[in-house]
Amino acid sequence: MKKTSARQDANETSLTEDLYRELEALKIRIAFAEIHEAEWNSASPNQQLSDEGKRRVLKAIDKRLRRRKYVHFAKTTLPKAGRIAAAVLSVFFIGLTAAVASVRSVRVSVLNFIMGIEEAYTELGVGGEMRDVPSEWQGECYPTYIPEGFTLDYVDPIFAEAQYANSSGQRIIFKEYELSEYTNFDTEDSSVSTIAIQGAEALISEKDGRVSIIWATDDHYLLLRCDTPRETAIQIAESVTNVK
Amino acid sequence: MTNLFWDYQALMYRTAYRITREHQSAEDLVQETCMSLIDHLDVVKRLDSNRLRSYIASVTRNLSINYVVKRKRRSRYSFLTDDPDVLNSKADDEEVDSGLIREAEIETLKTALQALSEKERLLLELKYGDEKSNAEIARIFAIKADSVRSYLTKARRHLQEKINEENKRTAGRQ
Repeated sequence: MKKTSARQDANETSLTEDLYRELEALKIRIAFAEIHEAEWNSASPNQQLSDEGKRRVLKAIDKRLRRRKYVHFAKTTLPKAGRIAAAVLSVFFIGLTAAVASVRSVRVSVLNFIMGIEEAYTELGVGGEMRDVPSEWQGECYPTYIPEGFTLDYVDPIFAEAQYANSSGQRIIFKEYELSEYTNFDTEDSSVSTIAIQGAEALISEKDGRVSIIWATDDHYLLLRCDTPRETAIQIAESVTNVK
Repeated sequence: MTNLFWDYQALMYRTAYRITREHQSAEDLVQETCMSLIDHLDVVKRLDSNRLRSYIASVTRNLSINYVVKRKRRSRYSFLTDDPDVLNSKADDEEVDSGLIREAEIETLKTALQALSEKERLLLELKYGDEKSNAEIARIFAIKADSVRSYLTKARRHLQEKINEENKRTAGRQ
């Protein structure tokens, strides 16, 4: 009996010691948490990155996020439905860069030709406004046509993104990417086809009421996402103009 | 992620600067922290705002210490070596009476922690604040786990002394 009792005592002491150790660790942890809280609340505005530092980090963040998106695109979307479409775009892009003549002049000529023979198409849409380019916009291109009811909601000058919204919460998003970068163009469970936008071959995807169009210019990929009918989205894409 | 950067860039910078004491290095480390957060977005997304702040501070701290160690600026952390005198000393967890720390008021503990040397505070911060194991701390400082144990014991002993001082000061005022 004595031995059992002594063993029980030893176990309880050991358990108590473990609990005291945990208590001590917890108290130190609480103390550090409160110290950090006080430091966080009392920091001066000077204790942060320089403007140049912020710009550099934001650029690095964008690059890393795009790389993640490309990896995700290559692993998930591409195997499903995008291989052919991507090949079409790639072939188109290779052909574009291999052109000897001025690509811009070729594209404009083709655009004029297309606009000439598809005049009826330009009359589509529910009416809209010719919009000015926002002063913060740093990209090369911008849509000059935005449907009525949509107002400018957001412009990111660093990442060349503009967003319009209407009172129903529908959005129009326009983004410009460097040619060396990729974007997540979701074609999973969506209807995908190719169309011509300003003489360039473009991918158009429709899913859950959202229309996405992606196409390449001389220097950029342009991405348009619209909560609008297909024809309206095409009209917006066709209005994209070089603004630099 | 951009919003996260704007919300926490000051915290990342201050944490990195506290350890490196160099403006340019602190900025580089903020960038490195952001890259690490992007690579662990699945973890970041699961955290509420309070834990997220601690997580970000912890990542910045680890990267900053790694940076300082790799750049061989050991003078700032000269005691964090595999010093045979420390290893051979009778620093043993069981020999340190935990009673004072355990019974101390949180306010007293805070004052005592802030009175420690920066190196010892950093060690205790990693151990108790970030809940790093001795092995992880050893990897961060590029020393042996045994050395970490000895240095932690020394730090806790100093913490006890600071608590004692603070208790006497408080008692003297009453």
